[in-house]
Amino acid sequence: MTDFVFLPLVSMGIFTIGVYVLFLDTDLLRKIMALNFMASSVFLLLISIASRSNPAVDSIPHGFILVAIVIMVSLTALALMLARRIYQITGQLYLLEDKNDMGEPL
Amino acid sequence: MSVYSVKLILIILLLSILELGLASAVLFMPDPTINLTEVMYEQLANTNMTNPLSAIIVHFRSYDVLLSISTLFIAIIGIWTIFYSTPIIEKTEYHYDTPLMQPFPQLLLLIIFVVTIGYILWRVTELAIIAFHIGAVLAGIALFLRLKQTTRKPKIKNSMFVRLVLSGGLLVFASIAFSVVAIDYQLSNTLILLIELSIIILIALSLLIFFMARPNIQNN
Repeated sequence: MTDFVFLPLVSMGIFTIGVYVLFLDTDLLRKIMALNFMASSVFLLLISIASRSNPAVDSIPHGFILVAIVIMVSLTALALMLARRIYQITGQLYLLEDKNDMGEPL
Repeated sequence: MSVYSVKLILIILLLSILELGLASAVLFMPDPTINLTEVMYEQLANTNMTNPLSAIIVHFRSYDVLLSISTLFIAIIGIWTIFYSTPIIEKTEYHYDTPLMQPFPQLLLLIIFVVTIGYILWRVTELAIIAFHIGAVLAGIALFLRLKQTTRKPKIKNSMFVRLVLSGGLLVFASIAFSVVAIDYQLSNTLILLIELSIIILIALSLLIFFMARPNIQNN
């Protein structure tokens, strides 16, 4: 039961780090990594919810996670491919909206 | 106090509010009204399986597995579409001059492969759980073998073989599922095992295609 205080706090902390990087960093690779961070924190949260139940560990959230891993891998692959295409076209790994008047990344 | 540090303090404050809000939402979550674990253990005897997670995936969440495989399929289609969308500047030679690409002990890959196959045979009833991980290990082995061949360009083209295997995984899934229903749920655990084996191959190939497959640019 003590896990259910510690693990949600840790997972939400990781989620907050992901939100920070996703919104305030311009590097596309870091944004993709932040998405992965957020997904991992949600997995951790689901595992901590699973440890809450009696008499044994609840297996249903574990099933969610097994499916979610596959989806997260597909999403990451597609996002990396898009980032690579942006790099090939523009030569930079940030979005064109994310630059100031001097043409530098924020 | 500069503008930068005020901004930083504001960001940290906002993020801590977000963190505390999310954590409090989770920590003060009400207890579930139905104890699903008890229900699950009552129904476990009907499934002829010992592992509850395996039973849940095979008997409750097979649509989830089908749709997650479809997601991999759609991701591959998206990747190929992005490849086709703009002209590709192809590098003709590949040099991987990292320590990992030095003469690599083939024995290690062989050991990993043998352990993986042994693990499949050992936990064959729980294959539903480990399918993705086994597929990922197999794809990693194949990718490493591919990277060692520095002279040749990526071999898998957007050929008929790849297309057939990719769509064949979904077809095998659907046809076995229909046959399980057709023979009135006899041998269902054995047949589902076949699905899992096909899923392992499909996942390994899909993960490999993320890295290796190139559309055939001679078409245009």
